[in-house]
Amino acid sequence: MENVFKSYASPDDGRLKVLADISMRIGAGEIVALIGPSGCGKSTILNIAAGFERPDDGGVTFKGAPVTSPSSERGVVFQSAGLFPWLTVKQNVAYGLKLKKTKPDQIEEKSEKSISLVGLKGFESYYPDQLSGGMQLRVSLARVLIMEPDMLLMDEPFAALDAQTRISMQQQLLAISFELKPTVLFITHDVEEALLLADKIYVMSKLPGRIISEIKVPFKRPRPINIIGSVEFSRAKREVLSLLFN
Amino acid sequence: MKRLRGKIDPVGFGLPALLLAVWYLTAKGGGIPPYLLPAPDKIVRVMVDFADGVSKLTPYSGRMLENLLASLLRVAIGFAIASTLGLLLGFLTGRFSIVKRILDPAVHALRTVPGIGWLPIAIVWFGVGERTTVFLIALAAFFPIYINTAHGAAEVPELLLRAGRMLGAGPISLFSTVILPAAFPSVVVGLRLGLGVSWAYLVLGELTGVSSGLGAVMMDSRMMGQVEMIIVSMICIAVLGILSDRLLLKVCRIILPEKGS
Repeated sequence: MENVFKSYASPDDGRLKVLADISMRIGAGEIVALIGPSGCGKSTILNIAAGFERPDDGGVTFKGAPVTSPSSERGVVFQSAGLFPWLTVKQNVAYGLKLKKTKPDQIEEKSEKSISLVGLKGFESYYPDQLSGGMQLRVSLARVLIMEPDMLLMDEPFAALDAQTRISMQQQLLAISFELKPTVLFITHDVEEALLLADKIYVMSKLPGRIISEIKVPFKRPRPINIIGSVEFSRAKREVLSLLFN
Repeated sequence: MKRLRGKIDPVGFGLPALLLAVWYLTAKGGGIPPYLLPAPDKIVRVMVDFADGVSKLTPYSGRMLENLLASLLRVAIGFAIASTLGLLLGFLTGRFSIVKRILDPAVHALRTVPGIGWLPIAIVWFGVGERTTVFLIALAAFFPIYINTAHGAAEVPELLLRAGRMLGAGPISLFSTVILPAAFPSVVVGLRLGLGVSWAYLVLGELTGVSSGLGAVMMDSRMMGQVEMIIVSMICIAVLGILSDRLLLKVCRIILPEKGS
């Protein structure tokens, strides 16, 4: 993403400048966290990266080509899952492949695999409203992973979960990412989560959103969950927090 | 108290049974003359005769099927016209703001004239009878179908549309796999309302003077003093109304199976 600017019309007939000169670089296989105060434009960055919105200035390049519209190559896991309520878990997961007119037996095989990967085996015939928040999130992850995207975009995926489910999901994500080595950009407001999961952290300012800092996360993979208790972790956390609150 | 899911709730029969008993006793009791309130058992006999023509109790003996089919056909045609236009324009209005800006004011202006108010001009245009009836049915049924479809189509959550697009849906796929299912509950409401209204305007239209049909029988039997037949026609229309509603629901469930639980 290079020199991206974005404004919205604000209720008082003015223009609200949301993003000012945002530049980010995400390499293949990198997991990048975007952290910042509430309402600083983080979701807007994700929407632009996904292709749902266009910047007023500057642009986004993905694999050498400009991003103009959404694509399953940039799979998005939304903050509130966004599953189709009239489809079962399996039908939701199979949705993308069905659109691509993949052969039914292949769809069957890949759906089973994806559902197992996120730990929801046995829930194939359930409907979204019969699932907990964490389970819905896992389904929305499965329906994206099945498309074998080049990149994952996740918008505060664990924000709506309770603390225990969140830790469990973070562990699952660590495991999945260690296995699949995806390229990920995820938004979070949780500093610990960013340090735990990411290779690189971009810290954003308040509105109008700017990138204050780019931080390389020093911890080697695989990362055990108890790294949270370590001294280095606490130091890194203090550093990020001080950037956020200055 | 446990409600039996899917089975018919016995409690629901209580009030109608009570009313039926009161009716029977009042009619047999002699307080009210039979030309005002025929006894329920007489009604049943006349209705059976209306169907099978055996006892020849009234001039309408055995003529149920022909009248029933005549009315049914008018409702079917009128409802079909209303549905086609209502669904098509409803979806266009719901999804494209330019269409909404063009169509909505005009539709709502037309709606202010109550269906009955269209009767005189309809007779002028189409003459008394068949075509006027179908026109009135189509006109009345159109509005709930259009409004509910537009509402359902417009209220599809942005999140679901984004999810669909992200997973690779083009405009047509997006419509058939996201917009249509999401809007469907509202569409069904509109269709059911439209069907209910169709039966109401069927009677109005038939009152103008068609030669056959349940509404025609109803008006004719009043003039001939056949009070039982008035009630029998009402019951027939009510039953057809319920059956057609059930049929509509069944068809809708086939198109988009309702999720379990």
